[in-house]
Amino acid sequence: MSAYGWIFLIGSWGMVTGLVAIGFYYAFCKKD
Amino acid sequence: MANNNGKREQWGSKIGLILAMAGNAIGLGNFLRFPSQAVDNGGGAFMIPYFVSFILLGIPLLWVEWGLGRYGGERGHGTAPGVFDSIWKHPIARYMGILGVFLPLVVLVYYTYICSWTLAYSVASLTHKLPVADTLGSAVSAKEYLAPYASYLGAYKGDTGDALYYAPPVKAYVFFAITLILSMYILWKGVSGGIEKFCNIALPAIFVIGAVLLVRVVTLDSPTDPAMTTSKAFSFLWEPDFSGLLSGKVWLAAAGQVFFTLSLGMGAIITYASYMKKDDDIVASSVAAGSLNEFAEVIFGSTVAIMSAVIFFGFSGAKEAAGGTFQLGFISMPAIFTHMPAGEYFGCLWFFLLFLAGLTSVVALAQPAVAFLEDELGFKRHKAVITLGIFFLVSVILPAFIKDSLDELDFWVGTFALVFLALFEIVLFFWVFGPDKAWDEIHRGAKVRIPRVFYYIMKYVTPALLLVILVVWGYENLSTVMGKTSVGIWAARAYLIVLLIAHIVLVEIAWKRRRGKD
Repeated sequence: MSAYGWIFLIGSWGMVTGLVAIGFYYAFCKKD
Repeated sequence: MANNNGKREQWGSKIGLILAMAGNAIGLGNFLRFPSQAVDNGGGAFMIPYFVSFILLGIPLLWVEWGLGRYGGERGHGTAPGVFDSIWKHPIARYMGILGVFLPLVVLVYYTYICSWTLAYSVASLTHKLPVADTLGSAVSAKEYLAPYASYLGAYKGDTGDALYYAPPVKAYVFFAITLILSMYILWKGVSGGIEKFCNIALPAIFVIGAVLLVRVVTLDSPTDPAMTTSKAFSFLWEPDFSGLLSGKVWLAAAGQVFFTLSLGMGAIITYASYMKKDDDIVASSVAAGSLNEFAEVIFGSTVAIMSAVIFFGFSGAKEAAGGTFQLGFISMPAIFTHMPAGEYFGCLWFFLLFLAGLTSVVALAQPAVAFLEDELGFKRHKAVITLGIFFLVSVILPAFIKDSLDELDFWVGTFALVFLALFEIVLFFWVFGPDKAWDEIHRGAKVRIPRVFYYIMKYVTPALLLVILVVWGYENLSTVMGKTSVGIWAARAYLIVLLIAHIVLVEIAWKRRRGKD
């Protein structure tokens, strides 16, 4: 797979993982 | 939903709410529809319009539907007719709201039947009942190799060659009955005691099974091509084809996939959100639930189904193997698992994962009908669940026995009408209720502010995009679909019309009842 392919794969997987982390952080961890 | 003591139920915990909402969204579409859509529309390049659609359509509509649901729930309404009416006291509001009960109910009728197939395939895989074809090398093509598996699916559906009817075997009835009884039992136990408890177990199980299958697939060796490495197999889906970015078809496919995967425009999110407490957070919880769905789709869905197809069939065969939800799920995947080391166990896990994902969606699709009977017609929960079960037993006759009816039902309620309802929702919330009030309503109880740019996206961009999708889909599909005729198609259309009229009558009865109380 080309470098572009890996960028797409890592970027996409990283984005959804990051969104899960952000959602849970603000839903559970952040103090009022 | 009121419990049997007459008090409206609420979610027991924040994590329970998020997992239930994620369970509503995570379904067969994540693991079967998404991979075939991505492959058909440019692989890696599909992901750009997909994520843009997620940001401009998906997340804004999640906030809108969660906001509408919580607002209506505080006023005693868990379904769209009552929720819309509490925002706009005009008959149009409650009549449009009918779609929020009607659509999930119709989808439920065929979705539950398909969900029961996944349980049957899981058991068949474990007990070695799936066909074992010749080795791939001796078959001329992927199509020839897959022929026994296509025949197996045809036999399971009861396709005897008759032009009009299916005659399913006894096992199809048994697995459908198990699926129906399980889903009714979960609903019988209520929102917190049934749906929440079930999702608290099912969602972690889906993610654990997904991770196990992902590891198995990325470490597979190809039985036919020793040069097929993991990196090469990844390139089938992730190598970008930038020409796709200029294609309207790709953008529509990506927007459509985001729509379906998040269960938007269905009414189910509104109903689930109506069981939130007054100041429960919407902003972050909805992003957490929606992102869990994306994780299951982009990481597990793309890898398990597509990579295994590429490793077994090569690039050209995988295109055929991944061509469509049923083809990929019930023909290609069983073929792959029967030829994988310890494939009976991995096949069993794969179909059980699909079953769990399907069942969490089945109960979400059923809940609006239960909530409508309770909130608007004063039914007790158990009576509402029994009523739904009887309706269901009668209605499933259509997709289970009459050919062509399933596709026809799916076109009208599973595609076109969802976008229509979502457009009405966002116009109602951001234009009739008012943009500032809607913005404040979404933020009540939130620990974090939504970036202000989304105010304008939700007010202008999302409704405009929905309108474009509706017009283009209608233009591309309506004349083709209306031109089709068969007994099954007309039976499905007649069923939809009769059911819609029944919903209108029920809403009228509910509102008369309410006026009588006032």
